[in-house]
Amino acid sequence: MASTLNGTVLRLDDRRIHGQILYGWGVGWPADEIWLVDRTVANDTRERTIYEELIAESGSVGGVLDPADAGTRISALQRELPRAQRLVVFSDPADLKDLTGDELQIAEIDLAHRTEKQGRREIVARVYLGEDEVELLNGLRAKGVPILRRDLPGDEPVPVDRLTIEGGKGEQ
Amino acid sequence: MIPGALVVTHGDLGEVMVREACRLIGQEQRIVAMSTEGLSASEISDRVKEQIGTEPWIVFTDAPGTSPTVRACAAISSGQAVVTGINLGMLISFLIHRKRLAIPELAAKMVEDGKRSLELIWPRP
Repeated sequence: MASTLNGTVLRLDDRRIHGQILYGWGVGWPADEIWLVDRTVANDTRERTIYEELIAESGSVGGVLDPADAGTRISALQRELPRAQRLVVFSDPADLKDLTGDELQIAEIDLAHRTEKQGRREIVARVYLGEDEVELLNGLRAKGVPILRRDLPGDEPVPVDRLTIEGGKGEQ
Repeated sequence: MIPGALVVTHGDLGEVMVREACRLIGQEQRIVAMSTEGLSASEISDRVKEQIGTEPWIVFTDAPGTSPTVRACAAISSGQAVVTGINLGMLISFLIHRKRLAIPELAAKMVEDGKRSLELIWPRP
């Protein structure tokens, strides 16, 4: 089934760029652009080369961005190519602070995958967040940004109505 | 030291392949499966590094562009290799030839033998 999703989709995924991104989103949506926003990758020559080549070989435009530059860069791209289907993958929710300025138009934030660690709770299936990260996402939700549990563009999105760290899994 | 094989795949695919290849050839030394299920990108490369160190290993993965392949490329060091598109024919060939070939030649042979095991059998072309 063809997806009706359009615009710039932000995806929380600490597996970074992988098969689901390249095939499910790159081919299946299809994404015109795929961006990886990740400070570690952006500042490591080998890691950066691996992901840049991967995105280029997939046939999508895109690359690796440092979180500090990502919001400005993607906002500029939105002005230049407003109709592009753009997937922005980020692995650290804290990077949303830099990424989501007033200018950036976000179709939705998809919570896809973040591994379990001390200080994190499972908010939705396979997504573990800390208290500050939950607050950050709740702030964006309050501003009207849809926050969803979605793996693939053709999936029925599950809205995450309220994120709660105390109760573990959020209301869906 | 004989080259090792680390088979990194989605789910249990690698575990089954390693088990069946060893059952057919009868060698179980330095051949290990690893699933990427539930792991972050960093955790995958950390576990690959932990397993192979800097010794001669080939990391076999299931499909290009996927987490196992991408993170194996980030994890290996000099004298190691990543070969993607693993199949049972390739893994059997590895067990047969690993004692006589060095890593670069062995990796090239894996690709060659892996491709050789892709064949239209019937109806005959």
